[in-house]
Amino acid sequence: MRSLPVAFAFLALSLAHTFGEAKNPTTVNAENFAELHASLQPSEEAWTTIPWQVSLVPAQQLALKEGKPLFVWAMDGHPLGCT
Amino acid sequence: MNSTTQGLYTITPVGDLLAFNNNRGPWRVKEQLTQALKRHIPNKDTKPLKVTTADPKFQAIPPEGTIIVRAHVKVLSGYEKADDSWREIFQKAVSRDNLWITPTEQEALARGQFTDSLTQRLVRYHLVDNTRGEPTFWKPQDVKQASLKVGKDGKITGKVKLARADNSSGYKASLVGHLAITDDKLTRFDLVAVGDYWGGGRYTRKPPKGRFPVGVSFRIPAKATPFDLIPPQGTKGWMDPYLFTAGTE
Repeated sequence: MRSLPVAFAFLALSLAHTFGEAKNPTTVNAENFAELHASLQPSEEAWTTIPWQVSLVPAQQLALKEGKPLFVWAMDGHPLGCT
Repeated sequence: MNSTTQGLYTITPVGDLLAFNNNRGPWRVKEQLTQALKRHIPNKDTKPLKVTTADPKFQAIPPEGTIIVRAHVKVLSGYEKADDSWREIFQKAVSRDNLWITPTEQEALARGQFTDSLTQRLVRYHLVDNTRGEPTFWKPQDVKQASLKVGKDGKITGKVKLARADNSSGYKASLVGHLAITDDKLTRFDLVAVGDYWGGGRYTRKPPKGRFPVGVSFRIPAKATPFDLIPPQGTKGWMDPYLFTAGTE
């Protein structure tokens, strides 16, 4: 079986966050900087409300402590770009 | 195993499989979790894993004193109407990655300078459309122009021109931002890049046709989260190229 290296990065995906359609700027300047910077931040992402662990060992230790199974998001690609 | 090992696993703390699913649909995931919880019987004899030294190839750790900056990318417009709900999600996605700024680079910023390493890292690994999957990073020769400057007031300005050798993809953008140094430490790094993008990558297919506006933002998070500890995608398997500690390739 192929190994799953970073597998435990348990998610972090750039999971699609949606927000209102932005205007169509083609450049940034002093005037529109603040608005653009704010609009390019995800405001609410439901997946970030889950207390994910990013390493296997502490995740296993926590699961044992709480008597729960582990949910592992295992991807060959990088979790931050694995849409 | 002949099929993919990628997916969502639910396992016991000793590693026994409870349920598997390789579909991100919320109802499929919910069903998986429900099944796993029904099957799971806690075993008090299970021992906790011991902490061992991580293989740096798989767990990249930034140099001490590195500032982690969040980087987000969004395609601002240009898509045709999506033909399915997943595609629509990708079209509206704001991506996430982490940019590392090392202590040496922070010192240079305090002097009003972007080091070549920071400029190249920011441009090649973060000014790329990663909203539909893993991006194809820019090669050194794809960087036609990369100019980033810091004014005495901390204002950042810049221009970049990126294009692959066959011009199948590129990005021409302007950058504006602000930084602040407090007690020799970078405390603000607000930056926006906006410009025309064209083309996609091997795993970022179906971009808008022609040229389309793409925005990229950077900021130091006000509150740290576990996700900030995930190494930048550019470090995947190869830490030195991301940090430019072993040349530029």
